[in-house]
Amino acid sequence: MSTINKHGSRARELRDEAFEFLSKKKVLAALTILPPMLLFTFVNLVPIVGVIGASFFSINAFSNEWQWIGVANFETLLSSDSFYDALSRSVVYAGGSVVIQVVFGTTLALLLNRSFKFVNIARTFAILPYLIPNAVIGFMALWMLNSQWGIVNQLAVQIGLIQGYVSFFGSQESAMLAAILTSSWKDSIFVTVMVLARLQAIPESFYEAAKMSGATAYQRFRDITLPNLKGVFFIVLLLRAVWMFNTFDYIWVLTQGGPRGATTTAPIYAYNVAFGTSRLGIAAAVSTVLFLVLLVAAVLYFRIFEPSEEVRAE
Amino acid sequence: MTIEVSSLRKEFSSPSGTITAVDGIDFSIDEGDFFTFVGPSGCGKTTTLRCIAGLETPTSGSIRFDGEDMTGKPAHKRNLAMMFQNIALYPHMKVKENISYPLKVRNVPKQERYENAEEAADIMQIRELLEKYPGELSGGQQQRAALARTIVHEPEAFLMDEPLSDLDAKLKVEIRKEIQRVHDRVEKPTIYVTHDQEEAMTMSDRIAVFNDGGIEQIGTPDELYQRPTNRFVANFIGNPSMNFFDGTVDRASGETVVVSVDGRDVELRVVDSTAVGVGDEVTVGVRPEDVRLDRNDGDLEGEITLIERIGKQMLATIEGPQGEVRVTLPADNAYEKGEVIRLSIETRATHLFDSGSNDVVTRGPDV
Repeated sequence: MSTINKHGSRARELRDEAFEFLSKKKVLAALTILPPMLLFTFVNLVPIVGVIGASFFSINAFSNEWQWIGVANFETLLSSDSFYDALSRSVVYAGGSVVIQVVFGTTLALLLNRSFKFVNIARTFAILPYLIPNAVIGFMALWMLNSQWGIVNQLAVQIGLIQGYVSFFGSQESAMLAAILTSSWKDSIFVTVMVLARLQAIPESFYEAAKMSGATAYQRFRDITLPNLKGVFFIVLLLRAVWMFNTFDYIWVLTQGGPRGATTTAPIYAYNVAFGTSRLGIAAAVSTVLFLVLLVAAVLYFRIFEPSEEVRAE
Repeated sequence: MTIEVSSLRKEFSSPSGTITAVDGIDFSIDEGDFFTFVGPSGCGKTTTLRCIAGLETPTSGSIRFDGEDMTGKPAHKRNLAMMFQNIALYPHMKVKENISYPLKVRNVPKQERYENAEEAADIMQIRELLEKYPGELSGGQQQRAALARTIVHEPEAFLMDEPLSDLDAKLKVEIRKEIQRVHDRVEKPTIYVTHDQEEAMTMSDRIAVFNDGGIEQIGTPDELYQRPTNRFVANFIGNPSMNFFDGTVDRASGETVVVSVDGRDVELRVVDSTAVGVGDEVTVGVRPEDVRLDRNDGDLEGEITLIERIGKQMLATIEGPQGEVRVTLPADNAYEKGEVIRLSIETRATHLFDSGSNDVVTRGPDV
């Protein structure tokens, strides 16, 4: 009896000591912060610093010889028209995608926010594309928009929208638009999810108070719904723009940057430089410039739109 | 404006079947009336108000403003101002924008809007808060701003859905006065919803007592207090609430009715003894201030189980064979908890209810 008690109290003591040890501020801090710190260091920080460092070297892809050349890579890059072309295509691709995604995603969210029969089923179906991998979306779009037997061509001709079959990804005029629409197909859902979550958090009493004040449906949308969405728009615009600016997978699956460079955005350009021409140093310089461009754009964005002011709506 | 509600009925469907929130009620409110819906929670008072507001569509029945049928008209076309329990100021607008919002939707120019907001803020004594956001205001200040919003609206009628129930007792009294001040200024009907009978009794011209989807009685505060038409109203109105004793009529003649309560005869004076017959099961209702305590003399008996202070007076709770009795006493009384005591009823101030229907049958001449 007494030994059991002794064992029991010994175990309790050990447990208490362990708890005491784990509760120490420094130990707790280390245990909770260290794992994500390590992950961040090796997955983000080291590659970023590595790439920035590599952009000052001439690197042979096959012999791992690094030769310091200072800012020569940047000079080459900044004097090459093809880089500026790629950069501006990135802006077009990101800008076009963001506009379509925000407009379409928000509209869808507003529709799904209404209450109607089977609204949960409708929401499930609307959000379903978000579960499909980007590459699969890309291949589906390729087949659907196929210039010989794609269903989009077939339907468009049948309802008289176009005269003959169109090669959406094959022509320089339409490839960029087709790529933007394909990527927006899925990524609009991201906007929908964010906006819908915000919409559902707007208390019904605001709308009721506005109705009692005499506000029409349009005035309620303008004065209550939109101001409440400001905060979510701020963050969604930034996230989508950065993501789309850096998008590689959709475009690579759809066009590999073609036809004749019409969809060669900056990430595709970097890939081509790195693995097409094996000039790793210049590829690293491309990535470094993109990183800086996004950094400056994000800082300006925060400065200009002052998110602290928008937070008040929450 | 006058408001007439006839045969109003509102059902909600729920997974467990249809719930009837309002079950065919009728009443009318005159120009300038301060009309209060009072009743326990879930009695249908808020639903009725929301039907008048246009925020709910009645299942059947009609709502008329000045004779014009409004039943199907959307809320934003009814020109009514409403105060909500949860206040419902827009957190993304400054106080002045909140107050002037009813003018914004009528496309009144900004300058004029803000001037109106300032005027209303002056009346509510919140001028210095105009440039702030609702989140920076206390609960009382927020409700003042909400009240100011109804002032600039210049509506046909004011609707108030328990606007004070989230405020502390002192603020309640303060804002209550402000609401009455606004009401007196504008000569428009105000419908006020509350579960607090004291609030209803102090503010209203007329009160409708709601219970279980219906109206038990409509009347002035005095009428409800002195001449309740049924046991529910008698019990609900007045604090501390009325005592009830079940008994049987032993004799009834002239102005006198003798009721046997738990084997003891209690003699009562009533205005109309022909309303009861010998052998009728009745409930005698008597207010706590009309019961007297005495150590030796009285019709009924019981033990004091609780003495508590209520303001200037004391309230004693007495347990006896006739049930629990509440009695108000002067503060300087000498009674103590645990004492066995005799009770006598003020014979000229009782209400007699039919025990079956709970409707009043007759009452004393001095109620």
